[in-house]
Amino acid sequence: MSSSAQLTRMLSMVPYLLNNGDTPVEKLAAMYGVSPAQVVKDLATISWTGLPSKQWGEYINVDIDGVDGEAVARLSNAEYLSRPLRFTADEAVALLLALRSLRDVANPEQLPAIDRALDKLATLAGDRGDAVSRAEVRIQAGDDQVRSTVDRALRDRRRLEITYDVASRAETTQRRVDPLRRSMRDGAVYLDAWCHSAGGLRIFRMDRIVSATVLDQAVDHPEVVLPDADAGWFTSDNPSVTLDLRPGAHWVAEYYALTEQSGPTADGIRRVTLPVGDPAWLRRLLLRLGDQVSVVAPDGADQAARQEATEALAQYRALGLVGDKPQ
Amino acid sequence: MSQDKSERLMNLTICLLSARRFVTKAELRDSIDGYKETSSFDRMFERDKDELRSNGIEIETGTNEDLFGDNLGYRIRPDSYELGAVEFDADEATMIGLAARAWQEASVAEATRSAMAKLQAVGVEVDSQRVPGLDLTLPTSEPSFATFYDAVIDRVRVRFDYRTAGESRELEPWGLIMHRGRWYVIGQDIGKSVVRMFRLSRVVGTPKRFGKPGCYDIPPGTNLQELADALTPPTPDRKALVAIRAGRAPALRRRGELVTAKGSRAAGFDLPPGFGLPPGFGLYEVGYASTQALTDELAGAGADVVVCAPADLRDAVIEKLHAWADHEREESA
Repeated sequence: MSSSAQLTRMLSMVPYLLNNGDTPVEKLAAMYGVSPAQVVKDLATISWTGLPSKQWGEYINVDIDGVDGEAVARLSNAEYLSRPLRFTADEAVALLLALRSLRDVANPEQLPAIDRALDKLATLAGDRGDAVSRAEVRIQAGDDQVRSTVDRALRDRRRLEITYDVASRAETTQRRVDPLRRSMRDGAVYLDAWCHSAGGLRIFRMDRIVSATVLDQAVDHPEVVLPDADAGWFTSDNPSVTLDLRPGAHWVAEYYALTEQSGPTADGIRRVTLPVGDPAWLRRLLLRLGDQVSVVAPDGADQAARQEATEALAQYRALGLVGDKPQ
Repeated sequence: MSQDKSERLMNLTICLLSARRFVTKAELRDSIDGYKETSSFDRMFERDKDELRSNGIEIETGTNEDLFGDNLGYRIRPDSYELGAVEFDADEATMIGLAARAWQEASVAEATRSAMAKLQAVGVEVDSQRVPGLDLTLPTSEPSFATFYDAVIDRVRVRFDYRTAGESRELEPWGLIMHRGRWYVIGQDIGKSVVRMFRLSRVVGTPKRFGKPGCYDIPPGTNLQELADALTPPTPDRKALVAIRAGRAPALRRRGELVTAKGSRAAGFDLPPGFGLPPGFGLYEVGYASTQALTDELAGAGADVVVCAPADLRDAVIEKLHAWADHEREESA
């Protein structure tokens, strides 16, 4: 435990106890993110400090009593430390930046409270909050109106009708869903919902919900167990594919979560294995990468891409937009 | 050992904060446990002052008027030390509570926790209640995040290894940007004297701070938002004519504008005589800025799109499709 972190904690704990009275040690531990034993150590150290030339009565008084089997702390004789230290720059920036980002995911009705809180905190931080202008957070949270509608349905437990662009299949769909939760992953906001069209739990990216309407119908599936929002996007049950990436496709190795990788070899080939959630996504990836990629395993994983490319070229020929293979 | 030091730093803070005048070094040495006993008081005191300052405590230096000579003293002014008074209503406190839980990175989460404890110390009721639908997570999976976060705040130079270049970089960081869940640092590349942006996930190993905090200036008028725009696609400056199957390729369709063959000919697009749309397709004008980027997107859409014009874009897409078309792979096999 660094003395610096301990000093910060003690300078905050003294005014807290002066202003809040008897406080369980457990509560202090949770507040400062340390063990109860550490809180007791901090309090013991505080009890050895006070005004200079400490004669009797000038030390800070600290008591820890057992109340109903719970250790409770109390403190006095430290009026000169009745206010905590100002925010440091890293504290101010962390809080201000998070609050500013909250604006991006909130719905319009929630904005006034966020803005008032932002104003007050910025005033409190003074110039120590200035560095927040040096950070920029962009969140894909979709349309304000859609967010508002989705939140209303969540609050009132109503079914939603949504128009949704399915990216992996490159298709626009119309669905009826029971909204369960709005959550965030990798810088984008998602709606978890029970989809009546698909007959199962589905996750919708808010910025791909083109429009949403609240229906006059209560949700059916309030008791669905949601997957942990922090868990990975793909599970190990999903199939995976192994690809050889030539230099023009190396970005794939940076962009997606890989389960295995090797290379690059002398001729610039990186071999990567990555999970596939939807075969249509793989088809589109292969087509977009063209000759910069080839499929190593499993057999037949490139079948859909080959069919699609053949069909697409046939269309160009039929429309007179191309002769045969360009020379 | 460390316990003694915490105790000494605490006593030093209290002494300087409660003093009504500047306290001289001799007085400090006499009154603070740990200073009396040591033979290296000067060095210890210098280090302690640095440590208080790095904790955000401003120590003022000055001379009391009633003193003779240059008897330098120190004090901490309560008005520069203390957190101001503030009150939040229930809604505001809820929003602050949500923001406080957003950070995933340990040291930034710790900074938020410490800030929240200070607010609680002045009587703010922090509420840990959830708001249906409202949830914020700021992902920071990059191990180098904390170093760059602190460096941007402190304006301190950073040296690091970057994957694509395979060489060491020296940067004056100006700012951090999160885009699509990934963090980027932007700043002046010292060796190359250019403004550059680096993706934190490509930083190899542990970045190192060097030089003094505040040792460079960020050019006035630097607009992080504009610099961040470099990460998003450039503004379209030309148009493609693309036939899109109904209900498919939504991203393209939403960017595009539905047109007729006649209208697009009038707009200057070159269509073969007697051109007719395939059944179930609509004709769209789609703006773009990079032929390469649109080629990739159109190839990915496969048989859901047919690129009509311009010819260079169409040829590039067809070329790409040839890489996967059956006869092509069989020939090369």
